Amino acid sequence: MTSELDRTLNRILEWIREEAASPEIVIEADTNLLAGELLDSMGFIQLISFIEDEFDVCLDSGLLIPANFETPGRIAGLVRRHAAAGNEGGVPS
Amino acid sequence: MIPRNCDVAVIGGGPAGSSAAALLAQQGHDVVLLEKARHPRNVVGESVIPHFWRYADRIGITEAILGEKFLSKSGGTVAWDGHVRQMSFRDFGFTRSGMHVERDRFDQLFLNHARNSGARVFEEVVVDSPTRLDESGGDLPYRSLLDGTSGSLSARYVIDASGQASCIARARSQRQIDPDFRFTSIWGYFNGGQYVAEGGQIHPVEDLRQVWPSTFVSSIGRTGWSWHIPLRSSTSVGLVLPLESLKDMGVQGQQMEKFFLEQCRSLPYLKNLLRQADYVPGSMRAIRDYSFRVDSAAGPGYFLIGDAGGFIDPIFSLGVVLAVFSATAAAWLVGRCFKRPDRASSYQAFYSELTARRLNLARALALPLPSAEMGNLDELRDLMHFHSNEEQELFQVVSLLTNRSSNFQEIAGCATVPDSLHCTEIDKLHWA
Ligand SMILES: Cc1cc2nc3c(=O)[nH]c(=O)nc-3n(C[C@H](O)[C@H](O)[C@H](O)COP(=O)(O)OP(=O)(O)OC[C@H]3O[C@@H](n4cnc5c(N)ncnc54)[C@H](O)[C@@H]3O)c2cc1C
Repeated sequence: MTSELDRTLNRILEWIREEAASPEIVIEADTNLLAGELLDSMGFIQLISFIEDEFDVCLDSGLLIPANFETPGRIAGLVRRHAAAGNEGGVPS
Repeated sequence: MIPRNCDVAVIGGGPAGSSAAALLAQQGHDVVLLEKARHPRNVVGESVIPHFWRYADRIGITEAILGEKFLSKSGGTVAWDGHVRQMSFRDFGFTRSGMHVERDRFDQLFLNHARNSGARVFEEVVVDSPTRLDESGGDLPYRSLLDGTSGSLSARYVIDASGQASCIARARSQRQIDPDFRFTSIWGYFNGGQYVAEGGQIHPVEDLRQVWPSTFVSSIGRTGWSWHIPLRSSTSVGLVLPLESLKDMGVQGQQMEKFFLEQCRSLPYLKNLLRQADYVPGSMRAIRDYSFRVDSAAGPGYFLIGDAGGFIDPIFSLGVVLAVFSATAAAWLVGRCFKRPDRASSYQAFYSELTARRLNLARALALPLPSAEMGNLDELRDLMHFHSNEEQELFQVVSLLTNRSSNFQEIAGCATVPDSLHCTEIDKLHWA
């Protein structure tokens, strides 16, 4: 399971580094995305789209709760929780 | 010839409609935009804050706007109940300036950009209430003002960007006037005169290119206020007054222009700024009850963007920025709806919620009286956290500039409160 989480985190980090942040900014698992100008509302909308396509999950609940998006690490956790719920057949995707 | 079908139909070609049309056409969708007027056309709202550039970059219109060389502005100066306070965008990490724009020209650049991006644009075409709006799209009846012909356009998605007209919400009786913001605004244009710059320095308009202006706002009575926005060749001056007070004074129709000029010549700061200025005859306009909200900014087959999705109050110049933000978000989400139709209702719900919260935040900043109802504080605090620390500080400062801050402080109470706010108290304006 840890490796799933790592893989998710790496893909999210890659996306943020490529699409959202300027090259000189270092993005790690615990970088606070909300404090600086890293991700604005549009950045979040695009990140959510990326996550849906990439991991085949629906993030309906918790989308507008900033704490869920504070760091790449937290986002990866959110994605894995949703994916797990989906696998149990609870949430249709 | 207006086609019968398209992927996306956009009602209205202000900054919101033109931006959404440009973005969706750039994504490769077949977009038709119908606009009632012929550009350049008049519209109010000339002060643009630097948040604009973030969306301009995404829309791809930055170069065209810069090329026009609109006047840059440094920030805002507010004379409220005897206090004069000033803020500069520079202090909040903005590297690009705000602007004072002639909206007829500004909006024309946007419409041209929609065309150049591949949207099919038809001017002098009025859209009437949709005859159908559901999961599979909408049908829009229209009339051409050029030749009187009429027809109907079918689209897989409808974006309503009709501004204050708010076609779709109105047709569904979902356009609700905000009872805490019942104002009339009267504005007009002046040639010559003086303006306010950094440090409260007053300059003649001839200096505008050398010394950037600061948007100047001053209070009138308990809840009214005025704006003074120098443009390249004239100055926009406006009054915002409670609907009731104008009614009580019997100001309407023909008397409005006379009343407007009397105010401009007698209000404490305005009268000095306008002493050597000449009114441009016939330039006065008015609008009333422009503050409204809609039940839901998106639903099966449609998204409402810009003013069409609700408008609160012009005091902090958020209108144009919210127009380009909502256009960018809606264009992206319409693209997602095409790609993932199974998720369309979630995207619509998400957009409605986001729009409602943004408007509530703007509303909390602008509420004229402390007692008025503010909505869900926790939701507003959540939204604050989606903004950078500098932006949160900017919110606090603008709320302090006017005495409209008490409501907002209640929300900010939970967010970061910086030690020293970048807001200067100036003893007085320095007349030349
Ligand atoms: C008094 C006042 C002062 C303001 N000052 C500022 C300011 O300083 N800074 C700021 O940023 N904002 C300001 N605003 C807000 C700003 O004017 C708006 O937020 C902005 O213009 C919204 O852009 P839009 O594209 O949504 O709508 P608009 O620019 O209004 O465009 C809507 C378009 O739709 C067209 N249309 C309408 N009905 C139809 C129809 N049935 N069929 C086809 N086309 C149609 C119209 O002709 C128009 O071109 C102010 C507002 C008011 C009321």
